[in-house]
Amino acid sequence: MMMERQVELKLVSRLRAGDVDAFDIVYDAFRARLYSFLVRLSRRREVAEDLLEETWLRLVKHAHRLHPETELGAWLFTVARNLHVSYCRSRLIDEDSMATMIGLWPVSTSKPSPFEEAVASELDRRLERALAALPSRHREVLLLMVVEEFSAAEAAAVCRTTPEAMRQRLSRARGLLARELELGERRRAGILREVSNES
Amino acid sequence: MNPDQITRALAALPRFDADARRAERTRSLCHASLGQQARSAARATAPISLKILEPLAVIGSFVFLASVIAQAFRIERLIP
Repeated sequence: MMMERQVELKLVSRLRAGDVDAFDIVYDAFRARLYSFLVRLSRRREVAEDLLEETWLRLVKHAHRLHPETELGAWLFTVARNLHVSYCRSRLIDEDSMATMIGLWPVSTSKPSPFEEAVASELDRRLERALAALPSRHREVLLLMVVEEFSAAEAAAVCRTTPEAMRQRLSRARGLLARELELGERRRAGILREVSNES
Repeated sequence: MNPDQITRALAALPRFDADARRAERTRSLCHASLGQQARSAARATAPISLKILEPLAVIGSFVFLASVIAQAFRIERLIP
Protein backbone atom coordinates (compact mmCIF):
# COMPACT_ATOMS: atom_id res chain seq x y z
CA MET A 1 0.00 0.00 0.00
CA MET A 2 2.63 2.51 1.08
CA MET A 3 5.22 3.57 -1.47
CA GLU A 4 8.83 2.52 -0.84
CA ARG A 5 10.84 5.49 0.42
CA GLN A 6 13.60 5.20 -2.22
CA VAL A 7 11.02 5.00 -5.02
CA GLU A 8 9.18 7.95 -3.50
CA LEU A 9 12.34 10.08 -3.31
CA LYS A 10 13.12 9.35 -6.97
CA LEU A 11 9.58 10.31 -7.91
CA VAL A 12 9.88 13.57 -5.98
CA SER A 13 13.09 14.35 -7.82
CA ARG A 14 11.49 13.58 -11.20
CA LEU A 15 8.40 15.63 -10.30
CA ARG A 16 10.65 18.58 -9.44
CA ALA A 17 12.04 18.31 -12.95
CA GLY A 18 8.51 18.32 -14.42
CA ASP A 19 8.52 14.66 -15.49
CA VAL A 20 5.02 13.75 -16.76
CA ASP A 21 5.60 9.99 -16.38
CA ALA A 22 6.50 10.47 -12.72
CA PHE A 23 3.31 12.43 -12.26
CA ASP A 24 1.31 9.56 -13.80
CA ILE A 25 2.84 7.06 -11.36
CA VAL A 26 1.97 9.26 -8.37
CA TYR A 27 -1.49 9.97 -9.79
CA ASP A 28 -2.30 6.27 -10.23
CA ALA A 29 -0.91 5.39 -6.79
CA PHE A 30 -2.85 8.01 -4.84
CA ARG A 31 -5.96 8.84 -6.88
CA ALA A 32 -8.35 6.28 -5.35
CA ARG A 33 -6.91 6.76 -1.85
CA LEU A 34 -7.34 10.53 -1.98
CA TYR A 35 -10.78 10.32 -3.54
CA SER A 36 -12.00 7.81 -0.92
CA PHE A 37 -10.63 10.07 1.83
CA LEU A 38 -12.29 13.16 0.38
CA VAL A 39 -15.62 11.49 -0.39
CA ARG A 40 -15.90 10.16 3.16
CA LEU A 41 -14.74 13.44 4.65
CA SER A 42 -17.00 15.70 2.59
CA ARG A 43 -19.85 13.13 2.23
CA ARG A 44 -20.52 14.55 -1.22
CA ARG A 45 -19.24 12.96 -4.39
CA GLU A 46 -19.20 16.09 -6.56
CA VAL A 47 -17.41 18.09 -3.85
CA ALA A 48 -14.84 15.31 -3.46
CA GLU A 49 -14.20 15.32 -7.22
CA ASP A 50 -13.64 19.10 -7.25
CA LEU A 51 -11.33 18.96 -4.23
CA LEU A 52 -9.44 16.02 -5.74
CA GLU A 53 -8.81 17.92 -8.97
CA GLU A 54 -7.64 20.96 -7.03
CA THR A 55 -5.28 18.77 -4.96
CA TRP A 56 -3.58 17.45 -8.10
CA LEU A 57 -3.37 20.90 -9.63
CA ARG A 58 -1.69 22.15 -6.46
CA LEU A 59 0.84 19.32 -6.76
CA VAL A 60 1.83 20.23 -10.32
CA LYS A 61 1.83 23.93 -9.49
CA HIS A 62 4.27 23.40 -6.62
CA ALA A 63 6.13 20.41 -8.12
CA HIS A 64 9.34 22.32 -8.92
CA ARG A 65 9.40 23.76 -5.39
CA LEU A 66 8.91 20.43 -3.57
CA HIS A 67 11.52 19.67 -0.92
CA PRO A 68 13.70 16.72 -2.07
CA GLU A 69 12.70 14.81 1.09
CA THR A 70 8.96 15.35 0.67
CA GLU A 71 6.67 12.51 1.73
CA LEU A 72 4.19 12.50 -1.12
CA GLY A 73 1.37 10.75 0.77
CA ALA A 74 1.49 13.15 3.70
CA TRP A 75 1.85 16.14 1.33
CA LEU A 76 -1.15 15.15 -0.78
CA PHE A 77 -3.39 14.30 2.18
CA THR A 78 -2.45 17.58 3.89
CA VAL A 79 -3.42 19.57 0.80
CA ALA A 80 -6.66 17.57 0.38
CA ARG A 81 -7.58 18.07 4.03
CA ASN A 82 -6.77 21.80 3.94
CA LEU A 83 -8.87 22.23 0.81
CA HIS A 84 -11.76 20.49 2.55
CA VAL A 85 -11.38 22.75 5.60
CA SER A 86 -11.40 25.82 3.31
CA TYR A 87 -14.44 24.47 1.49
CA CYS A 88 -16.33 23.95 4.77
CA ARG A 89 -15.43 27.46 5.92
CA SER A 90 -16.58 28.99 2.66
CA ARG A 91 -19.82 27.06 2.52
CA LEU A 92 -20.49 26.87 6.28
CA ILE A 93 -21.41 23.21 5.97
CA ASP A 94 -23.80 21.92 8.59
CA GLU A 95 -22.13 19.05 10.43
CA ASP A 96 -25.44 17.30 10.98
CA SER A 97 -26.42 17.27 7.34
CA MET A 98 -27.40 13.92 5.94
CA ALA A 99 -24.80 11.83 4.22
CA THR A 100 -25.16 11.50 0.49
CA MET A 101 -23.22 8.35 -0.14
CA ILE A 102 -25.50 7.02 -2.85
CA GLY A 103 -24.01 6.13 -6.19
CA LEU A 104 -20.43 5.50 -5.14
CA TRP A 105 -18.58 2.76 -6.89
CA PRO A 106 -15.76 0.85 -5.19
CA VAL A 107 -12.54 0.10 -7.04
CA SER A 108 -12.71 -3.57 -7.98
CA THR A 109 -9.95 -5.87 -6.72
CA SER A 110 -10.48 -9.65 -6.50
CA LYS A 111 -14.09 -10.71 -6.94
CA PRO A 112 -15.75 -11.91 -3.69
CA SER A 113 -18.50 -14.55 -3.55
CA PRO A 114 -22.16 -13.32 -3.58
CA PHE A 115 -22.49 -14.25 0.13
CA GLU A 116 -19.31 -12.36 1.06
CA GLU A 117 -20.56 -9.46 -1.03
CA ALA A 118 -23.95 -9.34 0.73
CA VAL A 119 -22.48 -9.58 4.24
CA ALA A 120 -19.70 -7.11 3.50
CA SER A 121 -21.96 -4.58 1.81
CA GLU A 122 -24.39 -4.66 4.76
CA LEU A 123 -21.53 -4.14 7.22
CA ASP A 124 -19.93 -1.51 4.96
CA ARG A 125 -23.22 0.35 4.68
CA ARG A 126 -23.65 0.42 8.47
CA LEU A 127 -20.06 1.54 8.90
CA GLU A 128 -20.30 4.25 6.23
CA ARG A 129 -23.50 5.55 7.83
CA ALA A 130 -21.94 5.60 11.32
CA LEU A 131 -18.76 7.22 9.97
CA ALA A 132 -20.75 9.89 8.15
CA ALA A 133 -22.60 10.73 11.37
CA LEU A 134 -19.37 11.58 13.25
CA PRO A 135 -18.04 15.13 13.54
CA SER A 136 -15.46 15.75 10.80
CA ARG A 137 -12.46 16.00 13.17
CA HIS A 138 -13.21 12.48 14.43
CA ARG A 139 -14.03 11.22 10.96
CA GLU A 140 -10.73 12.46 9.57
CA VAL A 141 -8.64 10.83 12.29
CA LEU A 142 -10.30 7.45 11.61
CA LEU A 143 -9.81 7.88 7.86
CA LEU A 144 -6.15 8.81 8.22
CA MET A 145 -5.04 6.44 10.98
CA VAL A 146 -7.26 3.41 10.44
CA VAL A 147 -8.29 3.43 6.78
CA GLU A 148 -5.06 4.94 5.39
CA GLU A 149 -2.84 3.44 8.12
CA PHE A 150 -0.90 6.65 8.77
CA SER A 151 1.18 6.71 11.95
CA ALA A 152 0.20 9.15 14.71
CA ALA A 153 3.12 11.40 13.69
CA GLU A 154 2.14 11.39 9.99
CA ALA A 155 -1.53 12.04 10.76
CA ALA A 156 -0.52 14.80 13.17
CA ALA A 157 1.50 16.45 10.40
CA VAL A 158 -1.53 16.32 8.10
CA CYS A 159 -3.85 17.80 10.75
CA ARG A 160 -1.24 20.23 12.14
CA THR A 161 -1.37 18.93 15.68
CA THR A 162 0.69 16.71 17.99
CA PRO A 163 0.89 12.89 17.75
CA GLU A 164 -0.44 12.67 21.32
CA ALA A 165 -3.49 14.78 20.40
CA MET A 166 -4.07 12.47 17.42
CA ARG A 167 -3.93 9.35 19.63
CA GLN A 168 -6.45 10.88 22.02
CA ARG A 169 -8.69 11.94 19.16
CA LEU A 170 -8.48 8.43 17.68
CA SER A 171 -9.52 6.82 20.94
CA ARG A 172 -12.48 9.20 21.25
CA ALA A 173 -13.42 8.67 17.59
CA ARG A 174 -13.41 4.86 18.02
CA GLY A 175 -15.74 5.20 21.01
CA LEU A 176 -18.09 7.52 19.11
CA LEU A 177 -18.13 5.21 16.11
CA ALA A 178 -18.97 2.19 18.29
CA ARG A 179 -21.82 4.18 19.85
CA GLU A 180 -23.12 5.24 16.44
CA LEU A 181 -23.04 1.63 15.23
CA GLU A 182 -24.95 0.52 18.32
CA LEU A 183 -27.55 3.26 17.85
CA GLY A 184 -27.94 2.27 14.21
CA GLU A 185 -28.41 -1.35 15.22
CA ARG A 186 -31.09 -0.38 17.76
CA ARG A 187 -32.92 1.76 15.20
CA ARG A 188 -32.80 -1.13 12.73
CA ALA A 189 -34.10 -3.59 15.34
CA GLY A 190 -36.91 -1.15 16.21
CA ILE A 191 -37.98 -0.82 12.57
CA LEU A 192 -37.93 -4.61 12.12
CA ARG A 193 -40.10 -5.04 15.27
CA GLU A 194 -42.60 -2.46 13.98
CA VAL A 195 -42.81 -4.18 10.59
CA SER A 196 -43.36 -7.62 12.16
CA ASN A 197 -46.06 -6.22 14.52
CA GLU A 198 -47.90 -4.63 11.58
CA SER A 199 -47.88 -7.87 9.61
CA MET B 1 -19.07 -5.26 17.49
CA ASN B 2 -16.02 -4.78 19.69
CA PRO B 3 -13.41 -2.03 18.98
CA ASP B 4 -11.00 -4.47 17.27
CA GLN B 5 -13.73 -5.70 14.93
CA ILE B 6 -14.66 -2.11 14.13
CA THR B 7 -11.03 -1.24 13.39
CA ARG B 8 -10.64 -4.26 11.10
CA ALA B 9 -13.89 -3.47 9.30
CA LEU B 10 -12.87 0.16 8.85
CA ALA B 11 -9.47 -0.82 7.44
CA ALA B 12 -11.21 -3.15 4.99
CA LEU B 13 -13.65 -0.52 3.67
CA PRO B 14 -13.61 -0.45 -0.14
CA ARG B 15 -11.88 2.35 -1.97
CA PHE B 16 -13.84 4.54 -4.32
CA ASP B 17 -12.67 5.92 -7.61
CA ALA B 18 -13.65 9.16 -9.28
CA ASP B 19 -15.57 9.13 -12.54
CA ALA B 20 -13.17 7.86 -15.25
CA ARG B 21 -13.81 10.76 -17.62
CA ARG B 22 -13.26 13.32 -14.88
CA ALA B 23 -10.10 11.50 -13.79
CA GLU B 24 -8.70 11.64 -17.31
CA ARG B 25 -9.59 15.31 -17.61
CA THR B 26 -7.73 16.03 -14.37
CA ARG B 27 -4.73 14.06 -15.65
CA SER B 28 -4.68 16.09 -18.91
CA LEU B 29 -4.99 19.38 -17.01
CA CYS B 30 -2.06 18.40 -14.81
CA HIS B 31 0.07 17.33 -17.80
CA ALA B 32 -0.57 20.70 -19.45
CA SER B 33 0.22 22.54 -16.24
CA LEU B 34 3.43 20.53 -15.74
CA GLY B 35 4.55 21.42 -19.28
CA GLN B 36 3.87 25.09 -18.63
CA GLN B 37 5.75 24.95 -15.31
CA ALA B 38 8.74 23.30 -17.01
CA ARG B 39 8.84 26.00 -19.72
CA SER B 40 8.64 28.79 -17.12
CA ALA B 41 11.39 27.15 -15.07
CA ALA B 42 13.59 26.82 -18.17
CA ARG B 43 13.08 30.51 -18.96
CA ALA B 44 13.84 31.51 -15.38
CA THR B 45 17.07 29.49 -15.27
CA ALA B 46 18.29 30.47 -18.76
CA PRO B 47 21.69 32.27 -18.77
CA ILE B 48 21.64 36.08 -18.92
CA SER B 49 23.41 36.11 -22.31
CA LEU B 50 20.51 34.13 -23.82
CA LYS B 51 17.94 36.47 -22.27
CA ILE B 52 19.70 39.46 -23.92
CA LEU B 53 20.45 37.71 -27.20
CA GLU B 54 16.87 36.60 -27.81
CA PRO B 55 15.36 40.14 -28.18
CA LEU B 56 18.50 41.30 -30.00
CA ALA B 57 18.06 38.52 -32.57
CA VAL B 58 14.45 39.60 -33.16
CA ILE B 59 15.43 43.27 -33.61
CA GLY B 60 18.34 42.25 -35.86
CA SER B 61 16.16 40.24 -38.16
CA PHE B 62 13.75 43.21 -38.53
CA VAL B 63 16.65 45.56 -39.40
CA PHE B 64 17.97 43.04 -41.93
CA LEU B 65 14.55 42.68 -43.52
CA ALA B 66 14.15 46.48 -43.72
CA SER B 67 17.55 46.87 -45.36
CA VAL B 68 16.73 44.21 -47.95
CA ILE B 69 13.48 46.02 -48.82
CA ALA B 70 15.28 49.39 -49.04
CA GLN B 71 17.92 47.87 -51.31
CA ALA B 72 15.22 46.44 -53.55
CA PHE B 73 13.60 49.90 -53.89
CA ARG B 74 16.94 51.47 -54.75
CA ILE B 75 17.61 48.84 -57.47
CA GLU B 76 14.12 49.36 -58.87
CA ARG B 77 14.71 53.15 -59.19
CA LEU B 78 18.04 52.61 -61.00
CA ILE B 79 16.48 50.43 -63.68
CA PRO B 80 14.95 52.64 -66.41
